[in-house]
Amino acid sequence: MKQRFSGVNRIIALAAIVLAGFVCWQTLTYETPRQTELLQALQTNVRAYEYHTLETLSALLLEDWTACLQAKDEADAHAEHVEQLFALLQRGGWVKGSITEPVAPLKSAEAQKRLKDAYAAWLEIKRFAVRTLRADTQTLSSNTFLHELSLLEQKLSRLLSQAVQAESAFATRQNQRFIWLSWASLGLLALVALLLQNTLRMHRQSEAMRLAAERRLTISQLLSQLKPLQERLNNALAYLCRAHQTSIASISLSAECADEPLTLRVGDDTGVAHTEGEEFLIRVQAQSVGVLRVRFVKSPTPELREEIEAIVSMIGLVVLQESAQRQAHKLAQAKSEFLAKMSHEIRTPLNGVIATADLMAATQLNDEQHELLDTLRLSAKTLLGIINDILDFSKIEAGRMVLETLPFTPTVLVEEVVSIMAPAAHSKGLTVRTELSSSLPHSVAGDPLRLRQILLNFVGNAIKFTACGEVVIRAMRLKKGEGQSAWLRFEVQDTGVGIPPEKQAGIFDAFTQADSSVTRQYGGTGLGLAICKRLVELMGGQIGVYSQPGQGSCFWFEVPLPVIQENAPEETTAQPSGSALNSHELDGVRVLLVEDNPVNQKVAIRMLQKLGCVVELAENGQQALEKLERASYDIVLMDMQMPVMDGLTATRLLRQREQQTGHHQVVIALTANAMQTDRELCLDAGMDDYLSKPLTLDALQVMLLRWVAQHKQRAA
Amino acid sequence: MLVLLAGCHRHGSESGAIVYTPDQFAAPEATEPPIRIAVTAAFISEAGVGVYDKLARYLEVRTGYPCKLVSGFSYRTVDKMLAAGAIEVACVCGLPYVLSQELPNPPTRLMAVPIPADPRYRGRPVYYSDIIVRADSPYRRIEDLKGRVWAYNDELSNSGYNLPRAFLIRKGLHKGFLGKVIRTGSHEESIRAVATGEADVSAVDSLVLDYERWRGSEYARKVRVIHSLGPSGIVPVVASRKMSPERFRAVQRALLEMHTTPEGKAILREAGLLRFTSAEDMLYDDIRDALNTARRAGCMGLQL
Repeated sequence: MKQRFSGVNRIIALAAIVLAGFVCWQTLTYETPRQTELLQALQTNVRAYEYHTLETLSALLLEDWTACLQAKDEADAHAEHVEQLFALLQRGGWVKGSITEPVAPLKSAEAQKRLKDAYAAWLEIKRFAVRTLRADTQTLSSNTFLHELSLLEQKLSRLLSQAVQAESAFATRQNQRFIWLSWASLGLLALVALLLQNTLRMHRQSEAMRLAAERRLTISQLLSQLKPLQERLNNALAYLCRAHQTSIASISLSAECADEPLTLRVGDDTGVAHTEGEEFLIRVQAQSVGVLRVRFVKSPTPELREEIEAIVSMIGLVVLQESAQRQAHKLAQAKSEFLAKMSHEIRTPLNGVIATADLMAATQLNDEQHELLDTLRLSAKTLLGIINDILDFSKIEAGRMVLETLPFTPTVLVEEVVSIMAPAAHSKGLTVRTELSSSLPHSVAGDPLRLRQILLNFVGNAIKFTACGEVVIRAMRLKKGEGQSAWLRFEVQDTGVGIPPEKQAGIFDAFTQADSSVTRQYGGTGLGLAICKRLVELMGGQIGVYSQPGQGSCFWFEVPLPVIQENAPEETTAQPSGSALNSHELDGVRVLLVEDNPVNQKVAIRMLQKLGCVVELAENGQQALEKLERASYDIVLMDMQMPVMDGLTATRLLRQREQQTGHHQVVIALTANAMQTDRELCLDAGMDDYLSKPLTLDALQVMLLRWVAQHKQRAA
Repeated sequence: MLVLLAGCHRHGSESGAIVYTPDQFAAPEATEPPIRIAVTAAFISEAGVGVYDKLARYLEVRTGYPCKLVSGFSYRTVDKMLAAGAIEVACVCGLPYVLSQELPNPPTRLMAVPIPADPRYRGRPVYYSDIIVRADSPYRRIEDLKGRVWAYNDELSNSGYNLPRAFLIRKGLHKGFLGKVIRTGSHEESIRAVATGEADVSAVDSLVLDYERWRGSEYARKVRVIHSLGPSGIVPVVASRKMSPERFRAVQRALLEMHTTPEGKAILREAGLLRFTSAEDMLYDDIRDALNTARRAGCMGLQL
């Protein structure tokens, strides 16, 4: 709106200036009196020309050549003068003489017309004069030319007189118009002055508005920063107070944000003469959530009041947003806690079932018992898989699936998958082989756990849906990729039943299998591939399948992974593997197991003993600290959730104590909480690693071997 | 300067601002009488007077004598002025020159003759008498003009009167052939008379017709030439016998050397001339032949 007013102002000012210029121009070129004078001079010169022409003629008849030539010179001079005056009055020009001044053409159109006719009459006179002077003696002696010349002269004089009258009348009208235009221009100039004043006022106002907008923007930025709400509000109000220090003495705010009281005070009004304070309500969704009290040094301007009201609404919005975020955070926290609790509560007994079954399998059982036990173990593991799938999918859907970035070797990853899945394949008479490209980087950064999960899913499906033949796992490096990232492609090809084309499109959707009969025949939740797709997408990659019914399927995925090391180092650290399961590297290793659950205690103690470790038990964190004060251990396996003192607190206290001794006790978290946040909490508390329950003998052995080796190196 | 600009204006330069200087009309202050140079209607029209004003100014500079152009008089008047010494130099028609040379004490003598630049004249001091009719008239031959109105400029004009008179006599068309004969006073007026229908036919100086066409005259566009007479000795520059030898030599030298100076060249180019050259009296023998034809036939007038 302001721009529109400004534009109108400019147009009006321009029009006034143009009009004023027009008036000035009219004034400068206002020459009608001068032109009337020239018209009269023209009339005089024409008469003089006629007179001198007659003189020439009479001298010629008398053959007084000297007088004849002098009279002719005079006539020629006047003729030239007449021509010049005609040209000046018709087209305008400059007059030189004692003064130099411009002459505009005749102003009056009627006068111009009369002048045109007069010029034609002039040419007639001149032609007649020339013809007369050039006439033969007989014609001259007839003496009739005087009468003809007189008639021509009368015609010319009449036309010139009419031209004079027309121009004079025009001058009178012009004079009146000039007076009117002068008044009009004065009026317009006054209007322009008013407009300029108005524009200046608007400019000042717009400048103030601009500054206010800048302040609001700054306050908006302050409010949008990732700091506690109280600190942000404090900064914003302090800025507002500084920006208006000549007007505002102090600001105090009291509000509530999600039931949290906020009270602030900015500025110092002690010793400052000020008006009474004013209150501005902070309203959110038609509900008052607080009040901003401002004590002014002087009465606030409407603009300042408007600015403060805008900032108050901004604060209201922030409070609303903050409240919503806090509520959402609380809900998310509750959901997260529920998931964690469920995970813990389901896995803990399941862990007990599986571990007990494993231990029972190592005892003397008859064939029937073995068969029943196998069924029990299979059911328990299937149930664990389903729980894991549901948990993963829930996490992904909730947007809480956080991928890790850890160094790993792709070839090792594939080999691990093969080593895990090979027994199942062999049991069906299938061959499992790998085709690993030499272009694969030695080590990359990514989430090996999740990549392994995808590959295990692919290979598991391949084995499940293949009756005979082979399963091939391929890994290669693609030629795309930017900077330090490499695109790795993994394929799992089988010689199974294949998937009909119409079913391939939805194969990665949740709860989908190629055929409902598949569930009945092969089992599964139908979440596996959906989880794989979500994970690959989280990694920024792509996933797909090629399949021919009756000929088999090829599931693939491609992911970009930052390259850490292109080629394998000459000396590589030996990776602990399942092959060391029967070794005695862990014999005599002293382990403190901190666990409150009796079943888990029993399972863990049996597994540790089976690995050759010497185990001591502490039922909570407090007991653990006491034992650690008295004795030293190679490894501490610490549960997180325990009565009396949880694992996190115990570890923090342990690390505090170690700051005085300089000793570092290896502490590995041992918990059923499989959430990413749990891992971060453990590491933040000072734990060295993380082992998720339910425990498996292999995972426990690998973890212990790694940390025992490091402990020995450190000790050496 | 004023006249020069006025001349330029008349020659088609309409864009320049008009300059009016009243002081220019005051009589020039001269230590001795000016050399009056006359141009007759035989050679130059009123529209071309500016060029010859420039010529007068040029001669003034080159000779050191004040010069003043005189125009607008009949051939006879100029002859009388030359004889009286009131005019010292004049561009006169060849016929008055021939007639003046027949007098016991010729009042004039040849000073120089111009050579036209147009290829039609082949670098010789000659010109033609062009017989003109209206462009949209049906006349193609002189025989078609029986009983028509003939316009002429002056009885003492060679191209306008002498040559066509001899031509008609030689063709046997002099007795009652023309319907009416009118006198116009100048070639320019003769062209206007034919173009406007006041006359059906006229004989005009080819140089004047060329000049009028060059300057874009409306009348010159409306006429066409049906026959040309000549070539004939061109309009000479003659001097009064009363002109002092010093003044004569100064003016003659300035004319003959005019084409060697840039200023002179510019004026010559504007006038449609190559240069001035000296000439012998015999250049005008063809005029004498035409004159004698009329004398022998006893037909000195066009309408007999």
